[in-house]
Amino acid sequence: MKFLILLLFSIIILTANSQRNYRLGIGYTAGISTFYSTKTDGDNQLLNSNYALKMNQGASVKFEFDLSNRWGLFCQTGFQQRGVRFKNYLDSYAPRYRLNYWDVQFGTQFLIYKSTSNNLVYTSLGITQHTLLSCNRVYDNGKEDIRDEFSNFDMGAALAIGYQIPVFQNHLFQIQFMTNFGFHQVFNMVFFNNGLKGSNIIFNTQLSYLL
Amino acid sequence: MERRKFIRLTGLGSLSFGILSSNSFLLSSCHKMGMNDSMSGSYVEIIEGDFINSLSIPTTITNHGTLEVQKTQWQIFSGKTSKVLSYQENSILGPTVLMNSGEQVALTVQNSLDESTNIHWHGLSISANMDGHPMDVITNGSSLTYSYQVNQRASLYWYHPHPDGATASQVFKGLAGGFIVRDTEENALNLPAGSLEIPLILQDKRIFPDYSIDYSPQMGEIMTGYLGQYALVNGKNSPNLSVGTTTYRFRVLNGSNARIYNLALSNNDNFTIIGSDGGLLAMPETTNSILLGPGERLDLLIDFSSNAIGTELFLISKSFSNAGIQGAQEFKIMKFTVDQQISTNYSVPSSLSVISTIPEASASKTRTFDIGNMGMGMGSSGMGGHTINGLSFDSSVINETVQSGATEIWEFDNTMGQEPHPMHIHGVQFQVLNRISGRNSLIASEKGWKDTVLVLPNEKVRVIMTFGSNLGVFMLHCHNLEHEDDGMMLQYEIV
Repeated sequence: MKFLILLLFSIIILTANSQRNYRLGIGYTAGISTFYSTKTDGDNQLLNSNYALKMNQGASVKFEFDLSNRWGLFCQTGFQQRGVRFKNYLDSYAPRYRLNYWDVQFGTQFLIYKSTSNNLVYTSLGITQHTLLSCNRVYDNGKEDIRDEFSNFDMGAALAIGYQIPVFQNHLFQIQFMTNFGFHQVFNMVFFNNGLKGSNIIFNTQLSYLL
Repeated sequence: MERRKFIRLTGLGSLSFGILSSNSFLLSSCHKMGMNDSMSGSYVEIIEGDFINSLSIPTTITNHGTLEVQKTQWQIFSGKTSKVLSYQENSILGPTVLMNSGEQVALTVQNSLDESTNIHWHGLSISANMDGHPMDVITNGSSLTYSYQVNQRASLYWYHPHPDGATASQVFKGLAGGFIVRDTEENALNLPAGSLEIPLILQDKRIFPDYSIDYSPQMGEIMTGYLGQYALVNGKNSPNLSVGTTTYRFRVLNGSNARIYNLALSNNDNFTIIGSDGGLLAMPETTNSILLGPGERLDLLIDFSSNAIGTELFLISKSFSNAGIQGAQEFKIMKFTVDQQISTNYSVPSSLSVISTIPEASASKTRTFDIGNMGMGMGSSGMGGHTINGLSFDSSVINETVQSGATEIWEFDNTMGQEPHPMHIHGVQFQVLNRISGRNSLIASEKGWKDTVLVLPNEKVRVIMTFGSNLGVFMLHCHNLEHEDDGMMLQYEIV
């Protein structure tokens, strides 16, 4: 964290008032996650529960590079929660799978609209790699480590639409609405053999500050 | 977050509950206002299976061997794997120990868990240092050889962990096993044996949709006990047992954390109770239903000879009342399919055993244990909770001292209580004298030797016992394991 603060401070000093075709910033995401494929393979006897939405958060470092007036590239890496909440399990409480990933994302950005005051509307498409850091079954009063039952890696795609506002000098504020979905099954080992199926999907709002 | 920490953080709720429990008017008012919802667990309904999987019979070992406490896997549901704790590989239940009375036990327990554990030999009167005191634990990676002589009546006893604050969790996740002692008196009766003698270990488990065992009690479930959604027999959900047209002997253990069963047959036929916790009754008792609380055992005979081939009937739990949140549902536990013609004319002996009644007049002292009021002081949960005489378990305090050889009457007073309490005394077998208020009478299984007795709300149960020569510190506690871990446990010392 200290390194990031020092890095950002250095960039502010070095890049003030300069015209550049790259930007570096930090982002915070919050939103909802779930698994998008059906949970069972048809012979699961415990059908009294379904996947439901779970809140998630994340934080990342973002790098953007302009290729032209309309096209650009971006790279983003950071921590991202995913997971699912179970509904209709029991009336009294709803346990959750909380999956913590380290994401690396590469993609392209496209400028849709630019106002006279340099406000931008853009869209982006990227591919992501998710590395599982930890996975717990979380109850209201505790948690249980179930990492062994989940795949360590996942590949996915991310799609976003964003709005960018110049703050001052070269500083930019972005708000973007994004979805990110994994291509692979999250379950592994015993859970997978028990017929559980599911792939990650999140719908997030990301707030970014770039220099 | 550890459960006790959670309880501590939510201690205000516990304190409030204690206040409310001590005043039925206030509690009643709060029920009407819906204030009790977060403080009292709700009944968890049993979801019945399809009764197509064969009943599993636990493996057996002799009185010498090794039990490795480990994480392993087991199929509670056919084709689906659950991670469980066990005393052996690829099983949820530990092996049933088979031995004769008078023999020496030498069982080494290797703890391969990542937490401490120990074993309490439930129902056996053995030396205090072998009894599985909550503070006498086997740390992870260590082992301990339990060595003792069994000089007891033939019966189904059982073994399970008893570490302070972790008993409920470890039992619910799988740690339990049967312990059958035989003697010459029982052998002479020629009771159904071999394939006609079947252990039935009844447990309820809460199973997460990924088939993991879910032990995550909420505050209210510590108050009422943790109930599962699936009824297991010998570790299998809703099993089926093929039987012939003859009499079977079932050795039944309620190994559940908190669930009480009101056992009956689905056709409402009678069955015969020949024994309970401490062995054979004096004479057979016929009934068509019987309550079985956590920790209690039954020795019962079911005669299938009048059933036609192809008949299917079920062991069920009937609904019952006056047991807190429990008893609201009638559910099937297992199926019996009559599919073999067996021509034997078995008749139940009219006399089973000699049980010398301990006269009340021989008691040198009567002690009363108030189990009906929630504690107000600092208990194991930090803010009060389940108590006996207002006291929570404190390993540094000997709560009662008794003389070796002395006969005493102990009264468990739940007349002000809201919850059922299966009360268990270590180190001794007792006789139930009477039940005052509530059901107001003894049930069939209470006419023999007992080590656990179910005390429902509004009841006072009096038991009498003579303490043996095993000196040392033993436990007295509620065998609702959430209550026990919450501190509803005292120490008594035989001197």
